[in-house]
Amino acid sequence: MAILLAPVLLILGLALSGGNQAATAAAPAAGKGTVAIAFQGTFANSQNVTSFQRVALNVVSIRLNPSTDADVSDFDSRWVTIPVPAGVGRNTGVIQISTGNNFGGSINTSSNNNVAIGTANSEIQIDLKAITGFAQIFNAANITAQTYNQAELVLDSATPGNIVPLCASALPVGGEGCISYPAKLLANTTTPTPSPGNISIRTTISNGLIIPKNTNVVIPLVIAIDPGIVAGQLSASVGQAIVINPVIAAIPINPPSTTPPFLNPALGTIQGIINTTAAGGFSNTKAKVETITAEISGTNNIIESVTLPSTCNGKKTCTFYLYLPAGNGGTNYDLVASGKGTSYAVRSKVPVNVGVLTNISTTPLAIITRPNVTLTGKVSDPCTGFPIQAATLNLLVPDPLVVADCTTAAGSLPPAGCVVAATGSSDEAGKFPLPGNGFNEAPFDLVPLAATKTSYELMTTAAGYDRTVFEVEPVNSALKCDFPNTKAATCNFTMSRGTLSGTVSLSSATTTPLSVLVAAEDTGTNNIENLSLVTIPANVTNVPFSMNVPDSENVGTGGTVVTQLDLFASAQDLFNGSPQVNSGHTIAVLGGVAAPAPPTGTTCAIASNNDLSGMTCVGHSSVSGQVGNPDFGDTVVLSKSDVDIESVPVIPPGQTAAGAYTICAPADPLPYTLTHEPAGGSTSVTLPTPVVGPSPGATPCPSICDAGQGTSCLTCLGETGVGGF
Amino acid sequence: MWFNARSIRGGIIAVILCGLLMTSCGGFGSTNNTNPGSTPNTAPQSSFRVVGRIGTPFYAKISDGRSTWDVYGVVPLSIIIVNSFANIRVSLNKLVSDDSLLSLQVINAFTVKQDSSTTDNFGVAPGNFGPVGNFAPAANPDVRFFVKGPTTELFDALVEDTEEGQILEARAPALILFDTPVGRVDATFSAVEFLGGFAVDLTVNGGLVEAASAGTSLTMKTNP
Repeated sequence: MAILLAPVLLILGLALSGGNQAATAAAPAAGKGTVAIAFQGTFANSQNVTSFQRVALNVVSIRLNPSTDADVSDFDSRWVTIPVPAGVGRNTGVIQISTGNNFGGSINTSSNNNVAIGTANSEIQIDLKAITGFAQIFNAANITAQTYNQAELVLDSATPGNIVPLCASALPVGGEGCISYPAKLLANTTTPTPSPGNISIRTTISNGLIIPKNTNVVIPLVIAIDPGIVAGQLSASVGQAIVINPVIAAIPINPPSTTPPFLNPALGTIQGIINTTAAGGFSNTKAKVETITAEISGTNNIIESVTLPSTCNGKKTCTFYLYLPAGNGGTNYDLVASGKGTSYAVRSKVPVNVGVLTNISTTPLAIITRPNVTLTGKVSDPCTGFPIQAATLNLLVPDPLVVADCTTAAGSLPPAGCVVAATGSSDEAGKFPLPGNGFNEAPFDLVPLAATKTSYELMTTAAGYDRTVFEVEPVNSALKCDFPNTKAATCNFTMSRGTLSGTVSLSSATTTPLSVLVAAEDTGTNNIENLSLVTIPANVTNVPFSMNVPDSENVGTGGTVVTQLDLFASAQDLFNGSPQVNSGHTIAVLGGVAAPAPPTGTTCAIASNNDLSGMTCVGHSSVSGQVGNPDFGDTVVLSKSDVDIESVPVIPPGQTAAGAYTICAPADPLPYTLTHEPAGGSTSVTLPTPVVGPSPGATPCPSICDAGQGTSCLTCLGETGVGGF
Repeated sequence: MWFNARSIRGGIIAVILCGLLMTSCGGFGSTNNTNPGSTPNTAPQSSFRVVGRIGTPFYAKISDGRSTWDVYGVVPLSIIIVNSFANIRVSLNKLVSDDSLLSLQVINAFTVKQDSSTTDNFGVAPGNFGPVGNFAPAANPDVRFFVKGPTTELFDALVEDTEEGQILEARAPALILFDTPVGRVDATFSAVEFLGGFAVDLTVNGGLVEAASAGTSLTMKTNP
């Protein structure tokens, strides 16, 4: 059997969601092979890593060179470039791998990063803490088949990264903590090297990276990136930036091989079989292309999508391989096989572990010939009739090995084993799906007509509305949504909601207007349902707010009805004229607000008099530490008066500074509570207050929040350490 | 992402002219290599890309110092302000409680000047080009062209009122916001890569004025 098919062209771009596109590269030409690059964060060579809330690098490309000379010139003609996936391009109908990401910019299918008129160059901002212990697929490219020995990281030459230090790390050179600062490369490090004497960000690939002349094989390569934070301090000499000296390491497949399946110590491998009933077998053409998509289990988060290679053409059975990131302890994926003119075939909760082969060949994915139809319609507000914009629609299909169907009663979640086979979004007029193009049609334009007596389940979510689930069943040659007054082939429906209103107020008026975000979340959780951005004018202490929220019959992510909401309000302060993520005002909270009742006819209920008060300018503060017994995926939640405000990731086990967390928060005189989720351990902490006075830094400090003083500063100095909970 | 083309009423002629100017002059006012005629280029203009995990819903509040727009959309989306006024402030918020990546790229001329991103539940990714203050009043009239598809299509557009025309080139999906237009507004779109038929919505003050679907070129107009 074993027709070795394999993912060949990898593209990061898009894998068809909501009428989106699939960036792609052409099939490897003679003498070329395909490499797939993934990134992983590490902090082994960084100082004071726990003194930074966020470390992000702005990556432009990866370059490879066959030279064995580690000092090979940056102008050597043998360098090949794997650029940031622009996320735009064409499906050549040959074979491709794509991910669910899009980073804009121009099409890049060759070895450069040309910029089309009207489009800036592409780059990707990588949060190194977020990919510590869990690789992120970057891109793939067709490159000359040979052995590569050098790898080079190319960053944005103007702003190679952005870093948010905690308060303590801002001293003694000066500057404010909890502010996003640009990174600067160490004096003689450039990216890439444009002149003699400078240093590239390079590594030598141990034993070399062998790219075979095989158009059906993709070689996965993981690049571990350490930002190399220098002394963890601001440098006034480079204009209030944080100095970095990045270091990279290559993690190739191990053992070396040119025959799949490959094993990479930082990725997991899935090997499976797909069958078809199509008379002519598989057909990897534009008109009829078969795809295997891997999503994080239970979500529509596409990590990788692979089309079958031309070697499958005419066959009715083919083998596929997927190389996927996984966390410590493993990560579950849902797989979806689909094609033009075929049914879906799904498999739920396939476990993936790094460095391990998961072989699911004993239960092949089987697609059968079915006609495609379009699932289209409009999502509207039940009370105003206005369109609901940016709604997310997920079409659920049961994994027959787990559950017979996804049909669910009103007020409950679809059962386990239901896989998102297609996803789409509504536009500014509430209509779905967003269009695809002549090469990549929108997934909702390619929905196979379900067989008689079977149906799909459509689950729709939108900020401020109830999760809405109903059946979609075949009626003659069209699909009909099981929603009142809906006709076949046109799926128009409403989503239930209520309104929540109140006021948000400052303890004292400010001399300039202030923007405030008001958020509503399921009580006792960090599951936010909606937000409202309001502006408090100068010399005014309070303004009203109003927002749509799910009503009291909404089923939360936990599967239970959510009857109460928690509210919090956070000011969006400026620093040196730039808006910041971290607020310098105390966060106003209001817990246990009753959710509004469901609509009566076309009248939506209003829950009013929900007032958030007492916001005061106090400046920044921060807290960090290491939790006890950290596990992959753990978080630390910051809450105030039992209202969750912020959730940050914990560095997973097996990594440098495992268990560490870092949080920036306003220096509220009242205590916060820190909770280790999901373990449940918690502790109370009061954060240190900032120093009032002129800035110790080189740049005059206009402060994170004015507090009415005009030119005064509130510079955070203290960092509390709390751990072990 | 554009330069002045003066007031050109013949849409197709204008696009051809624009194309010639772009190919010969560098386009977007960033250069003027061949010094054609006496039409000055504008300063490099700012635009945005909302990128990350495809389909991630977001809300953006965008201000150019004179007008503010509230935008709801999903990744990816390019946002371009025609006739922009001053420094620009953006507050970009995820509208979903998950770890999906939402990233804002602030672009000036050909260069990404600022990256800002979040993976938090309903996380915020603020951005600005130049020092900014508070958000300006809501745009009035609020004129928008939403080039929904064909997705990834590279297109040229001439967007003009009765006093000025500006050309731009972008990829669909793209949202074009016209700041403070004078009199009638019209726009001509021309495909470059021919990936399918255009799908463009024209809205004024939140109301859908025209939803056009056509081949590789179309013109829309309104009198807001």
